[in-house]
Amino acid sequence: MADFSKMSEKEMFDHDEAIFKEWLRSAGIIGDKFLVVLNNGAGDHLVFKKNILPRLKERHKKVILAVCYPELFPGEDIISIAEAQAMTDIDKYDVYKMGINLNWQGTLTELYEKAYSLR
Amino acid sequence: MKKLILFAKGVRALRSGATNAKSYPFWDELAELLKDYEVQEISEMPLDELEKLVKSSLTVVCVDSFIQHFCWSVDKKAVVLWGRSDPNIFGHESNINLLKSRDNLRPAQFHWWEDVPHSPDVFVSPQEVLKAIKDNFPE
Repeated sequence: MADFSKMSEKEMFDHDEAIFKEWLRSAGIIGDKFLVVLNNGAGDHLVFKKNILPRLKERHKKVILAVCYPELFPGEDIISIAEAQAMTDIDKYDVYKMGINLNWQGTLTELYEKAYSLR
Repeated sequence: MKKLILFAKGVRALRSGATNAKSYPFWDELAELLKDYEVQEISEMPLDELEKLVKSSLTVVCVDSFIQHFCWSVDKKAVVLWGRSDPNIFGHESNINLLKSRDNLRPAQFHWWEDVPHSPDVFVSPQEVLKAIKDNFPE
């Protein structure tokens, strides 16, 4: 726990800034970009591309995609899964893990909607 | 001229080397029944070529794999042969989804496939696939 009584104003600012950046990261926002991680199959990528990505683009000015099959997203802002891993905990983007944990019985699209707070 | 039907037999290989439980076991028998059509197996190719090929066909017969999603994404009605995975979760209404019985679905749909044994009994017969093709794509 930080001892605020011994911090300078700049140190307190930096401390708050670090907490805020961590919160943004946990919400999928890296810098000014909204991060998507698709560490799954090519078919799962297509479902995301057609049913989810257009809606995320309506909400976020810049969407950055960490994907396994970049050829499915021509013209998009793409990074590798490894790069995403260096930025954040990518497990929270794993819809298959989420499906197991929730014993999901809805569609894959509905699960993506839940993962990306679209429902 | 015979109408073109595409087969997409492929599913992701398992690390164990075992047959993936999604694999349809009766491709040869189905091809025999489809002698009125030109049957061609899809090979690996660039996506733009794949789209042209798919759109030039009468339909694509496939299992729960990339191709069923690809056909949906390019508005091509595929015939999808389901066994242990649930078309209500992973399928698309625009396709013809052939599931023998919901009793065969694995309980944990999002688990990996490595531990799921392959069973020919969970799939519809080639005769049922032929009927679905004839019913949905009349001459």
